[in-house]
Amino acid sequence: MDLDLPKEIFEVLDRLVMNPIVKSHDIYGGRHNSPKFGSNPDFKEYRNYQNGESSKDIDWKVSLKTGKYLVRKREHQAKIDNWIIADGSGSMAFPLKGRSKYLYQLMLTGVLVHLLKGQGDSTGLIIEHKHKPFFLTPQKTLSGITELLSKLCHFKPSELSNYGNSILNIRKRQFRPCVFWFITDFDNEPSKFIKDIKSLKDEGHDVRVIHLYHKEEKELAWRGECLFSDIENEIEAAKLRPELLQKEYLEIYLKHCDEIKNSIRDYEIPYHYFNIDGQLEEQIIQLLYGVKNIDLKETNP
Amino acid sequence: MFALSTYLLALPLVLLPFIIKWIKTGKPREVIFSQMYLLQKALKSHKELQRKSPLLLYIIRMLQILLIIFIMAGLLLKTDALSSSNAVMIICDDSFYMHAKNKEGQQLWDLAKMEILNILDRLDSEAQVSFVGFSGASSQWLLADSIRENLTNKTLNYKGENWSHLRRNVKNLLRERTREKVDVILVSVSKATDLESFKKVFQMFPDGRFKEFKISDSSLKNIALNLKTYKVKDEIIFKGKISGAQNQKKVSVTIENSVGKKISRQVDSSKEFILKINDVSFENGVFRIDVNDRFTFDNEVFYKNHDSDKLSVTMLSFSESVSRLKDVQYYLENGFKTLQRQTPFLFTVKKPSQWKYFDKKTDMLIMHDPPFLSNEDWELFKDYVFKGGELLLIPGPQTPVELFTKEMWNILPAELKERTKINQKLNLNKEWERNCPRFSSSELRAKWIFHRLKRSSESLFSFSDGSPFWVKNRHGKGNMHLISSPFSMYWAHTVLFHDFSNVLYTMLNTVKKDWASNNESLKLKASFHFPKDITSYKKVLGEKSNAHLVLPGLYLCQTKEKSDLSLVCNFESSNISRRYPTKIEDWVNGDQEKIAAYHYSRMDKSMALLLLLLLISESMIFLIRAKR
Repeated sequence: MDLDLPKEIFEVLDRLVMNPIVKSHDIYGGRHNSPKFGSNPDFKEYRNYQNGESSKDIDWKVSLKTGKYLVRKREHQAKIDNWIIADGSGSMAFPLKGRSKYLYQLMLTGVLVHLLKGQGDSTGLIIEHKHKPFFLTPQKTLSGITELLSKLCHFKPSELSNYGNSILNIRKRQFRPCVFWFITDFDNEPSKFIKDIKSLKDEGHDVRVIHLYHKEEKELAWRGECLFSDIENEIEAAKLRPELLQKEYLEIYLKHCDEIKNSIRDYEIPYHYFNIDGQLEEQIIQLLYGVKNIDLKETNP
Repeated sequence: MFALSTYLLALPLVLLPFIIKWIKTGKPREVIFSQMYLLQKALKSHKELQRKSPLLLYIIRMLQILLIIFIMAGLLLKTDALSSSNAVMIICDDSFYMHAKNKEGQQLWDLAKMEILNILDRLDSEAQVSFVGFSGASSQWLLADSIRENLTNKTLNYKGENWSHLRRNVKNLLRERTREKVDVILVSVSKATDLESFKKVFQMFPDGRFKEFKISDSSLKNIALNLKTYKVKDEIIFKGKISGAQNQKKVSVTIENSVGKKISRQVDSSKEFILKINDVSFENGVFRIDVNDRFTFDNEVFYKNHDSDKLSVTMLSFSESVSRLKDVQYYLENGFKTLQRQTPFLFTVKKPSQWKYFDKKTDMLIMHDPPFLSNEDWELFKDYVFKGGELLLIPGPQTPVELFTKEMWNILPAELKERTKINQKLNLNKEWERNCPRFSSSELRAKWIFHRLKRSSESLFSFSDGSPFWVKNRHGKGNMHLISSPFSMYWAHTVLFHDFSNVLYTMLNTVKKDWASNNESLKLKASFHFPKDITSYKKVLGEKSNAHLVLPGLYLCQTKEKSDLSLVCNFESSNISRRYPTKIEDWVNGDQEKIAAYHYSRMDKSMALLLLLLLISESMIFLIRAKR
């Protein structure tokens, strides 16, 4: 599988910045603010001088004006860990012709990895699968990222995904706050998944959910008698006339999406609903800034 | 050959893509879908929706189908509307004219009989059939008797009589059946039927009308009879001329009296004929003419008292003296004349030797001074009263009161007892005083008094001391009247005949009024249910017509009971047209009726077919939807 990303997107990506909600606790330098105070020239705040501290840190000018010994507090910038949890279930292969959800997921992952590498952040990958899940710890180096992407490229979506296991795995390894990028198409009952990501959020991680869909899934636009078979081979095939079911299906689909959206957003987790045939640049900006239209040329990281 | 072979090759090749497409379209399209979880949910909810809402839909559809089946069954299995009727009244022409043949040589009687039997076959076994045949003075009752033979389970409870009594018979029949359901009146009318008097029968059905039907037979059209009767002593002379039978020189003439005695003679049709019969019993009877042995001319009634519009009164005087009888007649007729009104009564006085030959169809019979009579004779009178006659008994010097009371006690309103001379005035109300001025002023001498009155008896007049003068008692369908004083032509004696005529007139008028009020009390209201597509029938039978032509001469009205007795005539045209398509073609006078009948039968069948198709299509749609 080749990543066929447009070249322009990389130009755009150079100007973009991913700002996590959480702060990095990493000791290594990065682009993200750290709760620690470091030697960064960026000023953060003043505080009273305490005995035992180095006198170098005292801002004499301000101290003279106020009559108090005030110490200038500086920010420490560090790298942050990102986890991309890709969906490896069979439903991601839909549609079989043209750009599939999995390919889109790959493109999105590629873009994100590029972006995050540029920011000096490390990216880890989990491919959700019932029987053969893939796990890669956050990588910062080029070789690591290449491995990540090549693994994702060579993975064939099939069967079901199992989010519960992967989240459990992460919890075992990841103690520091990090950013989780969940990419999925919610082809199953979402309640357990939502419960899991809520628990991650409770633990102080930055969680972001990207819901992928194809317009055919939404519209059920076939006509005539059709034999619908499950791409994951889990549910029995059904012979029906989609035009008769269209109304009910759309109602159920929208209700399903609304439920997911509301339950996720209620927990202040960013939720993005992307059409895989849509504009990737726009979607990336939306993903990073939460706004659809933004003048990229003026955006200066 | 080349062309043929290329065609053979090319045709399948050309058709191949179409065949492939056809095969493809036959197979369902395969779709590999990712959101099967949601699709299954949608499918489930769709099925649930179908299950929930279709429950009502299913019920409605089932009801629709049931309704269609019901209507279809009604249309297809409809054997006859008559089958539901309990009481059926058949009124049929039983005259000699029914002997006439149509062009095909079929006798009207046979046809009418066949139709009536058809109707009887279609009736329930429990149905009660009343048959009222009518004809002239006397009838053969062949039709009625032959029909009676076929009525094994059904009860034939009435036998009709001549024209003058048809109305009464029908009335009595209806009176009997006031609380029952009289369903069908089937009327057969021949050309000879007096339609005017027939209409009077139908006046009992206030909205009732019927259509006159005439059989067209060119050979019989112009036959007419001009007949005069004379009576010289005991000899009866018929003088007449037959016109319109030029082809036949000799014509057989049959005269039949009221007892059924027949005399046949051959007469010359071109000349006037004179027949002399030395038998008084032929005074009343029927006169017939046979031409070519195939046509019997209509019964010509040659005695005068048969007009249903007038009430006939016959007086049987048992006095020996003829001169006295003449006096009685003179005074009575004179009395009627002095009323200066158009007499509505036909009054005849019978001689002592003739008293047994009184016309049993007379409305009122006055027995003046009856002597001791045998039991058989009394039975004759009893039967007359029972069948609806009015009998007025005026006891005279000859009357043996004790025996009289003994023999006639069953029907007498009171017992008579001898009494000496007492002059009393009558108690009369204002109406009577106005009508009979002399009656009120005169004093009557009552020879007898009524010893004991029956509870059921009714006093019409009474003396000033309260003792009754004229009492009446109901017996069977008729009334028995009894007067306490003998009548005489002399003022000094008892009641003057001159006055009596006045009383009689008023009394009979009340009888007539009673009839009228009876008719009113029946409250007959006839309304007729027509089939939906009645426009064609209305054209034929007129807007308000309600008696329907079944066969020439046969009218069918179905009636239904409402409240007390209201008659609803219903006509099932389809049955008739189904049963008699060819006959209608032969018989119906005029195309409109034929067309209407056929049209209706066709409509019926086509409606049934349409409903059948609807049912099939409905069920198909239903099945297909259910499958989905």
